[in-house]
Amino acid sequence: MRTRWRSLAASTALLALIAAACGTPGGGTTTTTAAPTQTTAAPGGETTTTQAPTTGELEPLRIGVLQPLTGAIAASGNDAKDGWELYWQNHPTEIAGRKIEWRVEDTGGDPDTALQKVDELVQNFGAEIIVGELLANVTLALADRLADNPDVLFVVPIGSADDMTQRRRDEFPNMIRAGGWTSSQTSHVLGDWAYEQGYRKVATMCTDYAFGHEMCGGFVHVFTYRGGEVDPSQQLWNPLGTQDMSTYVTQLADMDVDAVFALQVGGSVGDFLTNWHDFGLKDRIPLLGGEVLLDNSNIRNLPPEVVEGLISSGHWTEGRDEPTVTEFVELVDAATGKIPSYYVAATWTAAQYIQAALEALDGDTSDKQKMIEAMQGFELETPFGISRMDSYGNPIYDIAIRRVEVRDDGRVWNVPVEIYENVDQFWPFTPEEYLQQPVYSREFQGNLSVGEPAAGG
Amino acid sequence: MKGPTGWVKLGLLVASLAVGVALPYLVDQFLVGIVTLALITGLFAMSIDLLAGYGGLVTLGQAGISAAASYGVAYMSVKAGAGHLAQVGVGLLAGLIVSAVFAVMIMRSSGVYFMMITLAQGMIIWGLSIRLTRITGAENGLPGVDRPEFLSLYWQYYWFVLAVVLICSAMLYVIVRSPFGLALEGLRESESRLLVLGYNTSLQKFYAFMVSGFFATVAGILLVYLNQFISPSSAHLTASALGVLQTILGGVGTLVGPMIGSFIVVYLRNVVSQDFERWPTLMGLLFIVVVLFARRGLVGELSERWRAWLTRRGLAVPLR
Amino acid sequence: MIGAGVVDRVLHVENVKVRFGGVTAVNGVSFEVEEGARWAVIGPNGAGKTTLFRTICGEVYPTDGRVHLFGRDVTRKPAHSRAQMGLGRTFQVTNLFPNLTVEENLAIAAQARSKRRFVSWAPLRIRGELAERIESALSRVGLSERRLATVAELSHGEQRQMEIAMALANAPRVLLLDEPAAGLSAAERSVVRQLIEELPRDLSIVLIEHDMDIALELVDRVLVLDNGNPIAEGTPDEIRLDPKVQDVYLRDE
Repeated sequence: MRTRWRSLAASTALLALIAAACGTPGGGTTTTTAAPTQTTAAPGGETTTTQAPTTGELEPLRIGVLQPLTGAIAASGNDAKDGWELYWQNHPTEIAGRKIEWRVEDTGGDPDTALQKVDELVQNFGAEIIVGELLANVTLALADRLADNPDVLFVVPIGSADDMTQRRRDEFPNMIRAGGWTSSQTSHVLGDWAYEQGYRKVATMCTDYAFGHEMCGGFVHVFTYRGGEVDPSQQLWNPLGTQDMSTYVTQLADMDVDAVFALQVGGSVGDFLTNWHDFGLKDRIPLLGGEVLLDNSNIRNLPPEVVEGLISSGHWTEGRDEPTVTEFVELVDAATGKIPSYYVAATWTAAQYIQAALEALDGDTSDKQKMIEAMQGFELETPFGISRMDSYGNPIYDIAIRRVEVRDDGRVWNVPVEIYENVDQFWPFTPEEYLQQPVYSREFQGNLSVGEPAAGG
Repeated sequence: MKGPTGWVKLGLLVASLAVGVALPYLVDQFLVGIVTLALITGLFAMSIDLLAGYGGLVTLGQAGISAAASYGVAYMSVKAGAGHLAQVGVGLLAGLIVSAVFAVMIMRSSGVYFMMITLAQGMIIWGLSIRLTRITGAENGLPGVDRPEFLSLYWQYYWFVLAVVLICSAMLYVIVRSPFGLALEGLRESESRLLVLGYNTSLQKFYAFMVSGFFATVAGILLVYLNQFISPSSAHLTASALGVLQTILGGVGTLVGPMIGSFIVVYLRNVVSQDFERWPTLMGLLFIVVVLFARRGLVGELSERWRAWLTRRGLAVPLR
Repeated sequence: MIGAGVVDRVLHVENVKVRFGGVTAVNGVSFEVEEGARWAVIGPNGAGKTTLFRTICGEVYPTDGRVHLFGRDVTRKPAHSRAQMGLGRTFQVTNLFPNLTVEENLAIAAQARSKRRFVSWAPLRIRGELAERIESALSRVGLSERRLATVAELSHGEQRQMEIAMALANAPRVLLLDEPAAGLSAAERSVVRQLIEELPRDLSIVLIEHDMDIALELVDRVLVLDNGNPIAEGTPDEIRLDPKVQDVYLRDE
């Protein structure tokens, strides 16, 4: 009879042995309670007893960075990683006596993995600050996990789920969107601009998930509030990860509208824009892009003729002619050979906020609420321009209507066409009005308020 | 205990039980968490092995079943605010109902058709988890699934998981050695022969799928309490495929193999990835090496070598 | 045993027709097998023997006609139900569980018709009647020494013997043998022939054989098929002398 190691004995035995084997590498680096070669007691102290440093040196500030470095959105995640690392390559890594140490971890874009990694960063690496993530749903999961831990500050430069700094703000007391934004923040502006251009009837083409609902809702809300019309039957939704956008593009071609608002992510972007160009719609129907659609991370991979001249709105405008922006763009370009996407700018800005807070508090990071308060008080010159915080912990920026142009070197970038100054996440409404409505969803696109708006506008 | 193999197993069992129970005293919270996770995904992979390794039915939708169970728990916890008994009850019910529906769909299929149907089943659950926003919270998932008081600390939960996984392993151990388990292997070897011997193979597949689904359900419940969170990615094909991969890595049809495979994958994902960004490449390479040079998987290959060694010395002893 | 002292029909094939698309594979075949009888169905290649066989087993349902097993109409019953009633078969192309041992193969066959096959909460124990049946099947085919080898490790001849051992461990009352000597050497053929001769006398047997000589030595009734049509039925001696049968076989040679 075949000898098979199917026995319970072997199963439990081996699993525990492997567990012990797993223990060596991780345990070796972190639980160095009795490492004889180390004379400074500092690393050992972090395991269980919070023993005071014996030397005059302060504990390093440990920061965990979580981004999707593998998987479908790895390119964007690596941009985010670049921004973070470039910042510290160009700035001192010791601030107010605290050395800055960080570890970048890969989430794979998966919330479960991200939760496992954040536990590791907090428990094992000893991170006091977590910076992440790119996807809204992963960011939400992290925010929820970290909300119970007052000793950790959660800095969110990219993940843009509206409610984190709106209706659910109170659930995340230790979170701040340094360098971040809310999904609908930039499309609100585009809704206003579209109406100003004389467009009265617009169709939408958005990805069918929370981020798409919010970006699209932001546009539809303000556009219809101003008096424009969006017929719900002309709001097309494609599943996340749609590879072939041609059927949607042909549907849009048959609609009698003044313009189309579009937001796609990942692989759908290239296919949508290419089809839009190839079907001859680019010169026939004005296309209004949600910020990510025409972010540099997307347009740099497409032929210039496909994207040149397309309009979008954004808090990031790489072709903005201001010293903070041009310096940043040149620095990133020199280091990576790429014109920076908003992901690079976002993590760079987050680092900037952390440095400023550290300086303001003279290296004392023990009270995370004080760090948040400090950050909310700053007015920083960032790659996004001047960045201030509203009382909800979301930045207020100048938001640009942008057009894709071809540079002299043949590469494409977004240049500002018009700038809306000091736009917060509620613009053009007051927080009180705004927060009475539900968060944007496929069912609620803000156009329910059609008919009653003119009073406010 | 028969022969040298028995003694080796007994030794490993005692040693590993000792290490397993003492683990929270030996390593820090992070590693205990990693081992907890590996135990749970190991149980999940074992449930796949029961179908794939013993019944020859390679499923690509198993994550759909455990995710259904996780969602059952999370919904009762987060949305309904029910007690823990109700949470676990609904989780079990959700997993078993989904298993039963799926089992009816697959009971007349085999081979590639079985794979395709289960793949579709998994994707249906994934699709529902994105669509049924009110129940599942769509992409954002359901956060905040709290454990009962007596399991709230990491080491408490570790011991609980260890106990549950041990019990489940023991059950699986008996099942694959039972008359039903033997007939299940017959299904892998020749369905037409089983039919003319008088086995209702459709019923057999239904039952096997339900048993496998039960263990996947248990894994799903354990996992949602570990992560305290569930989102659609848990139901995705990737999660199912990873379970199959763990099974192949450790050794199909060995039960202990999938558990080992799970430890390897979890180790790569959570520990190696700290220092080595290209860990998926590493995992891919490892997988290729195993498929090329150890076709029975790590445990399968090892036991085969062991048996050959014993046979050369005339020490081989039958197991059954 | 059915009805003491009365000789019963265990298998009754009644005017069975099987059509696949436009092709008629079996065209109105009838015969009755009494308890303990030994039948052969012979005919040249393509005569419809195998299709008839599969119809009796339940792998194919007839287009027309009926199949009765132990007095019950099983025309539309699936193969496993007929097996549960006591119908066993062997395969022309070896169909065993290659990666399981000889003993495990027989255990699967032996438990197939008992409630024990559903037991999943206790380890398999080979003892009692189950063990007896496995032992007797093993000793009958002479594979007792090979019980711990996997079937894949057996020689072709041993695998043919396993085919019969599997059927015996299953304890059928009617056994269908599908060319049991196919592909064997002369020496191995005589082993298998002897094996069949020594099968219990109360076991009813239907044998398919391409080779008329072997078939006629083993049975007491013969049915001859040609192109799906029954052309003759009788004792081996009658069949040997039947000019129609000779025609068919001569035409074919």
